[in-house]
Amino acid sequence: MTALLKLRGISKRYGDAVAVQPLDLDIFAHDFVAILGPSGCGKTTLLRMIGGFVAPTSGTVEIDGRDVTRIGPEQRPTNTVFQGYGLFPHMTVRQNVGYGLRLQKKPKAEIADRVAEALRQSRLTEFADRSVTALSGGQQQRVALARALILRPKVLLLDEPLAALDLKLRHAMQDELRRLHQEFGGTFVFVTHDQGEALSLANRIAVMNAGRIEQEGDAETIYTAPATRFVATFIGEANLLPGERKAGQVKLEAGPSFADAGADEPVTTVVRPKAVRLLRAEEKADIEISGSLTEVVYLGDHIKCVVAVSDKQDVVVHLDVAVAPRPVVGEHVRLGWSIQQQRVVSA
Amino acid sequence: MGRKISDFALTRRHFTQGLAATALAGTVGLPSMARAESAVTFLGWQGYDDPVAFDGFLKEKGITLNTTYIGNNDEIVAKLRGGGIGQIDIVTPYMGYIPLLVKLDLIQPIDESRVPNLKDVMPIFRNDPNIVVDGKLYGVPFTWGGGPMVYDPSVIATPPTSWKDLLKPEFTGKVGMMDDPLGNMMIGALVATGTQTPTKLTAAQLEQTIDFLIEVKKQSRVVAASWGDLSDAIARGDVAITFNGWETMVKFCADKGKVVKYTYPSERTHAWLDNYCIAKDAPNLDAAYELCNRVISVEGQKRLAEVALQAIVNSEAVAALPEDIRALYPYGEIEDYGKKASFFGFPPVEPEGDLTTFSDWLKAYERFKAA
Amino acid sequence: MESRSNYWLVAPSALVFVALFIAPMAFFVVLSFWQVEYFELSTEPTLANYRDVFVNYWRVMGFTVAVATATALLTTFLGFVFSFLARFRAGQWAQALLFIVLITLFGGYLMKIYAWKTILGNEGVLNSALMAMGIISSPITSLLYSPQAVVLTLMHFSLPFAVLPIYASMRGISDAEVEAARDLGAGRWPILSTVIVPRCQSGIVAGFSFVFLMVGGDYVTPLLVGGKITMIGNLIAPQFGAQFNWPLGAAMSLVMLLAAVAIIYLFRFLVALGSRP
Ligand SMILES: Nc1ncnc2c1ncn2[C@@H]1O[C@H](COP(=O)(O)OP(=O)(O)OP(=O)(O)O)[C@@H](O)[C@H]1O
Ligand SMILES: [Mg+2]
Repeated sequence: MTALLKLRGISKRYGDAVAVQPLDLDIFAHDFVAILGPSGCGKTTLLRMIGGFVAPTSGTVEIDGRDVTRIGPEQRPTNTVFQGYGLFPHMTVRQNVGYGLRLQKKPKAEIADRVAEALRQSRLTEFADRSVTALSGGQQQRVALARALILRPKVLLLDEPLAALDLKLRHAMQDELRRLHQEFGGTFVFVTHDQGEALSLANRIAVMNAGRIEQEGDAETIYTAPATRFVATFIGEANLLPGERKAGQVKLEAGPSFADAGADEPVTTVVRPKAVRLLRAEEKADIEISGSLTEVVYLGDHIKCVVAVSDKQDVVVHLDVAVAPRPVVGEHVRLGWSIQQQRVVSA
Repeated sequence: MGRKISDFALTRRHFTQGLAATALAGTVGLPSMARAESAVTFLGWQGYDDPVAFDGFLKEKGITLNTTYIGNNDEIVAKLRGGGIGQIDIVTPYMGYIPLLVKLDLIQPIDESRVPNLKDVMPIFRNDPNIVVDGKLYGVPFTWGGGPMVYDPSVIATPPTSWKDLLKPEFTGKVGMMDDPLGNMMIGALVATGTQTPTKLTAAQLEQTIDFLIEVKKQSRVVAASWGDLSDAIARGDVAITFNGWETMVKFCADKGKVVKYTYPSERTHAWLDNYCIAKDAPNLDAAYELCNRVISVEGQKRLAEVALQAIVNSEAVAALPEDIRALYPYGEIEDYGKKASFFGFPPVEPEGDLTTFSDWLKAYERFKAA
Repeated sequence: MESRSNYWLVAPSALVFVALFIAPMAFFVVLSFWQVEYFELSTEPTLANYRDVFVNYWRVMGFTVAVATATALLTTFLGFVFSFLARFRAGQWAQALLFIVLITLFGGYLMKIYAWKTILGNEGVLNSALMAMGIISSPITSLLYSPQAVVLTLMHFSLPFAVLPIYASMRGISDAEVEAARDLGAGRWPILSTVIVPRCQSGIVAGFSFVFLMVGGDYVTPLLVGGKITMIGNLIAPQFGAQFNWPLGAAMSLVMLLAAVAIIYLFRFLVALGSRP
């Protein structure tokens, strides 16, 4: 299967500052891809290079087998939902949604039909003849979506589509986006700095940091098998245990060691709080470590314990609320996890 | 009103700012009437107060001046009629206006014994028929000028002898006119109708006059807004000869680095004479007479000639002028001046037989403007 | 109670409005039905002034409207181009560009007129340069003292008045709107005609109106650079001065004002027509 959207060696610099480092990315048809990363890491720049609004410093953009690097957004088979929506305030909802079709000089009747259908799908029919300035944020969002989707883009690009909405509306719009993606069957690429949003919407996630894609994969892989220290920390909670690898053997600063193939170098072992267990007496685990409990917090769906395993190192453990007996602060405990549930990455 | 009057009396002092006349068009009311002893109220052209006010004379005589500048001669009539009688002391009308002011009973005769400097005023001015009504003198003439043909000798070696020559093809696009309704129409009437009294025109003669002016306009590049602008157009080489003019343009052009000359064509041209007049019931009669006498004194006249470049009337003062200033005007042959430029006066203001009135003239002049 | 106190609050501004705009206008309207004969104002109502306007002044008025329309169209166009460059192309130089436009407001009216005289005259900068380069052998005399010179000078003078409202309304257009239009398939011209012009309608009409009214009422520029040209202002001004015929002047002004309002509405209508989605 060949990718619908192929980025090859694409980069962008502004003067001396590099917004996006040369990178490759493949996106397949029907994917819902999240580009996830902290503020200023180059997500918007990357998305705008796909949409044609920013000319890349190097590299190529290929969509559906065609090199579109040199052509403008007006000719690319992409459409964009902008962060500020970019609705036309001098037009009604209907006129906004029909704008692209009018530019294509489609027959009037066809435009009317398709706009009516798009309005219905986006549940905007009752606002059709209102000025877009008289709509709520969520309604404006839906107009922007309908206006872009009506052109049946090969790739729909969304820049922080939900950032301006309040929490409740954000959840509703997440459902809406998921539904539209299913009904429409297209390929969506969206930018977000919210890992929860990325996990809940996207089937594939590209994690960006400082202009690079650190890891690209499905949500589960990203979560359970982070490729870098940054990915591990950016998505979900993680315990990071520094150590040293020598001759296929990793020795953690906090004590334990285990076999792990790879070059000799400083490494970090990543383990999720949920993967760590409190070992009962005599109980064995692949990796074992002990320390004293400094904190126990009840958080509704789990209990969070913090264990000081050395002067410098804490390990966070998430326990099921049903655990009995409840551990108490000051208690000396043994912790353990299986080798499959940890990840060793370069420090 | 008319000639030197609306556009030029102002601009002769402000000839680099051609706009002064228009900018002043909506002049303000009279200054506050709260006055000390001998606070003379003066209503006249800007600068006409300067010959009496420039040095310590007023202080010495205990006179202060409340000055209101006019934008045209009609304001003199309007302000005197609109409550100015008993308030205003001095007005400075064009000589053609004096018979009207007398008829409307707005000014009083001059007691010549109280203006001793009149003895030095050249007879041609002192005896101008416009300023003497029923044998009584009503104005103290103090400055004058004419409307010669000004030309650029580097382009035109021998000037034409007739205004009509301006219609010849060789002058096409080289003529400059001045937007001076009264002066233009008086010259136009002299040329087009052959009349010797160009202030008394029938409707048909007025039409002929305007037709002629329109012919001249076709030959012109510019109908200038002020004498400064007309001088400018000659000095910049945009025109080479003028229809209507002013002797002082020689100086204006010289200041811009251009040598021009003037001539009086055979049909003659018009001339004007401005006066200090004393309003009826002037509240400061003694002071008013002091000013009338002062404006034609040697000091006052020299000031007028040297600073404002105006032509003057006092023969003693003329003798005392520097050569270059005196050369601006034909003082040497002043008694012949009337053969070249005449103080015609003013068309009727109210209907008089079949003669056209000044309103008719202005109306007709618009046809020239719009052509 | 409350609504009554609200009325009191607007009373001062209403008074100012009436005193500054309505009252003088009403006075003008009344005046235009009176007549002056031999320095006497006759308050007998008459249509004579209006008859006079339509019989004797329609040509000058037509010419004035033509010059004002041409100047306003050209200046509005230039102002639009200038604003467009400042808003969408100049980047960090936008402020500098606007500053340049604004400083042309200083220096005043006369300086500009005399500057153009110096440039356009027979021995002016332009003719001298063309002759020095051997492009022409004798000066082009129609540069100065011509309708073109009037239009040029008025354009120079009024450009800031077109730029300011147009630029102000262009600043209201977000980058996202323009990008959205491109994204939806609009090229250069469609972006202009479907987004930028429609969004600047009020600015464009305001700019056009400023320029039109300024030019339509001007009587100084034609006097100084127009040569023999007469515009209606040159005939109106003397009615309030030398001619002392305020009623006729009022009638001429009011007819010109109505013509201006008609042209401005027509322009507005055309802009709106061209801006329909
Ligand atoms: N036009 C530009 N000129 C100069 N630098 C720019 C420009 N646009 C972006 N940058 C820089 O490039 C880097 C990446 O910017 P970008 O907008 O892509 O970040 P982002 O990941 O979308 O951040 P955010 O989550 O805050 O929107 C930033 O450091 C930014 O300052
Ligand atoms: Mg961004």
